Amino acid sequence: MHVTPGDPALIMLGAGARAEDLQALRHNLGLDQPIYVQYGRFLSNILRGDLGESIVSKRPVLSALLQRLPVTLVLTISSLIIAVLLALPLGTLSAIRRASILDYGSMSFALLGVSAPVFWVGVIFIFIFSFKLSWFPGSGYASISGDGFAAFIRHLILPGFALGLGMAALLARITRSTLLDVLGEDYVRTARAKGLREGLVVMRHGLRNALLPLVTVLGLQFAALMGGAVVTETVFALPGVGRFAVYGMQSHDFPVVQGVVLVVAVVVVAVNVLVDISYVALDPRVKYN
Amino acid sequence: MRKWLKYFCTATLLLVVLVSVSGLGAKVGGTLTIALAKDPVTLDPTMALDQYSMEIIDQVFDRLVRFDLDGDLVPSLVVSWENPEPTRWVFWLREDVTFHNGRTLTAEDVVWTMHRMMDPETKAPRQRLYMVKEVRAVDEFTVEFVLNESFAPFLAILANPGLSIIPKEEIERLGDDFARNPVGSGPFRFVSWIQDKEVVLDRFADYWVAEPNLDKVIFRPIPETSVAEMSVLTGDVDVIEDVLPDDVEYMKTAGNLQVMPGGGYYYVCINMHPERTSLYEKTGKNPFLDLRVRQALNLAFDTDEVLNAVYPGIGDSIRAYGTLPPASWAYNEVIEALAPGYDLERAKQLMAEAGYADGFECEILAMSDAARQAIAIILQATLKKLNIEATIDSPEFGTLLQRANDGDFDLGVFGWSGSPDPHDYLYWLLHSDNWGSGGNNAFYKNAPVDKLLDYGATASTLDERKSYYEAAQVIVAVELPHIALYWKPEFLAKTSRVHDLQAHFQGWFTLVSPEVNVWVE
Repeated sequence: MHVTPGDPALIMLGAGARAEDLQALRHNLGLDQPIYVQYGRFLSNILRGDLGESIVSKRPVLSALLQRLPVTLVLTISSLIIAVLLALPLGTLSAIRRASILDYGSMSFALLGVSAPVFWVGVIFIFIFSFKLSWFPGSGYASISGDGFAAFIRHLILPGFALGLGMAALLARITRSTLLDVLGEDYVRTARAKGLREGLVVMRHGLRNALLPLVTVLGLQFAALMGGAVVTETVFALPGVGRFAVYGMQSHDFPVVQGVVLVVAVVVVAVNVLVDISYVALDPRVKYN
Repeated sequence: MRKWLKYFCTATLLLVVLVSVSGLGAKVGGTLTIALAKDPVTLDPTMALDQYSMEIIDQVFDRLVRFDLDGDLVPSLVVSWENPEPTRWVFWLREDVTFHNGRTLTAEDVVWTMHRMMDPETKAPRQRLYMVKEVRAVDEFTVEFVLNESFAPFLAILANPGLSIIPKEEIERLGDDFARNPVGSGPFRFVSWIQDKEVVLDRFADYWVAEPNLDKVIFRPIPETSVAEMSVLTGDVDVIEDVLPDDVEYMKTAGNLQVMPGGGYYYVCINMHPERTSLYEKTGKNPFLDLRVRQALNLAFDTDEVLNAVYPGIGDSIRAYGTLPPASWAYNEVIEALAPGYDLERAKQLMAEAGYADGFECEILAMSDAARQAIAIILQATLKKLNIEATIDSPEFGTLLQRANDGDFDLGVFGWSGSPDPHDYLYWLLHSDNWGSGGNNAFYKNAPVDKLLDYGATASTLDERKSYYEAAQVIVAVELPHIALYWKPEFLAKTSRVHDLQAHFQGWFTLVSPEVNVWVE
């Protein structure tokens, strides 16, 4: 951001800024210092648990992030749940009814879901479910403590589905292909030879073994969901970290962008650690000493 | 019987007049929800710069003078003012104004607020009072400003919400937190602010103008214009202040849309910097320094048709001919007759005369909003007719602003807005002191225009100022540093339950004033 053109002081003052004001503002914001000094200050502040102040609003970045992080986590986790709830049945049905109308239908849905950009899906959802049908609010966020559980859920459904749809499509495709591989394994044939019901074969021997790569993808895709939250939060006017990032980038507010990147990185690493730990539960062959 | 009928009709008429004049039909109570495109940055007037902060500050605070709905300067916290000498302004304050904390607003508050703005320790991002030498309280309700030199647009400066009056004790009590817990003397008191979610205000019953009809006002940031449009149509919010150009016709009927030409001047900026353009880098000279080339660009661009294509149905009403709003007291209608009009053949002829019959290559720098993108594309097609091959670049705002100020472009589709005082447009956009970041991105320089604008800023009477500004406008209309496009339409779409709310040329709303007191059903 320091390399790209665009001076935060200039953005704040806009067109028609007096040279004296620009110079004073750059000095007050510390922008007239060399980049290594600014970065050094940032690193030393981090060690003290201080992410600095937004150069535009003067608010501490850490408290603003902590205020927004629950919104983004609720959004990403709910979209993850929606994605899994959609993907598992679709992918499984496609695999066991391979080359059927059901398979083609669900894979066409998956293709559509992967291809449709999240901002477009969001606006279409608002148009249909809020504007036309008045089922859900089209924008805004409701907290459980302030607005009640029902309002919280009503405000979450559209953005959750909009963000989760693309991931559901991807997971459905992976579930299908992984399950097809697993269902061709010897132990599945053995299970069938033992006379187990097909449903049991698919669920216990097929799907469980197909889950491992699926969970790996889930962990990796969590980062993509955090990225998608940037767009979703803007379309649905949610007060989360993603929208904070957009604001930071638009105004070249370096401490905000640095803070967002740091917090998102920590969350993504934490989620992937959880995914690694979950392998133990999913696959008895995996053990961490 | 006839006599009775006459009495009945007269009484009914009187009742109608009374109701309309006194606002008796207005209902007290209710909440008004207004959608903003962005969350405010700060609610401390001294530190605020962005429009969204100003919109809320306008409801929580008062300033000495203000612009009414017609763009005229009228008293607000003052009863009257006097300008006994060119550099001395005296203001007599109202004695019935109280802050939300219950204390009476006095001259000391005005002096303290102004000193706070002027003090370098405050680190106000924009020094609005750079022309002020001294501010002092003459008595409890009289304030005197002494300027460094005569500055005629001084009242327009004081009308900016950034100079709203602040109670000293609240800043001392809250420190930096005042920006998140503002206390003013305006019609609504601050209640809460959850970033990117909502700002809530409630009625200040002791407001000196009138008790507000509304119980509560909520500002909700909705960044996507299309989503905001759907929100007002479903009644999720009551008011939105922006509409996509393509949706204007639909919103007129479905969303009670009001449209008025605003204070934002949109134009094609012709970069005349002698050395910085890409054209200069390639060819060693800047063709736009040649008046015939600038005339050709203006003649080839069919502004009327373009505006009707970009803003169907309202194009004619927002047409700009020069850099000053037509409603301004200094507007010179002569420039409309001087406008080049559309004549492609004449444009080609002028290009040939200037030695550019084969055209050249250039770059258009354009803001990324829908309207200016459309205009950039049409401009590109227009230039092709003059054999000018143009590319369009639309970087993000920060980069665009930097490049515009550095002169790193050839043609720019830009915008500008200011207070209704002509100084705010003509001086900043056209005076050579303001090349680059000052606002003169055309890098236009004309010594007589500079002189006229200097005189306009210091002349003591409105008539004198008017004559200088009128003369400057004529010179600029001939010299054509811009292709004047349009006055940004200010939109106000609302639900039918909202009454008395009017679009304001500055892009925000007045909820309570001597003229209006907004109410909801």
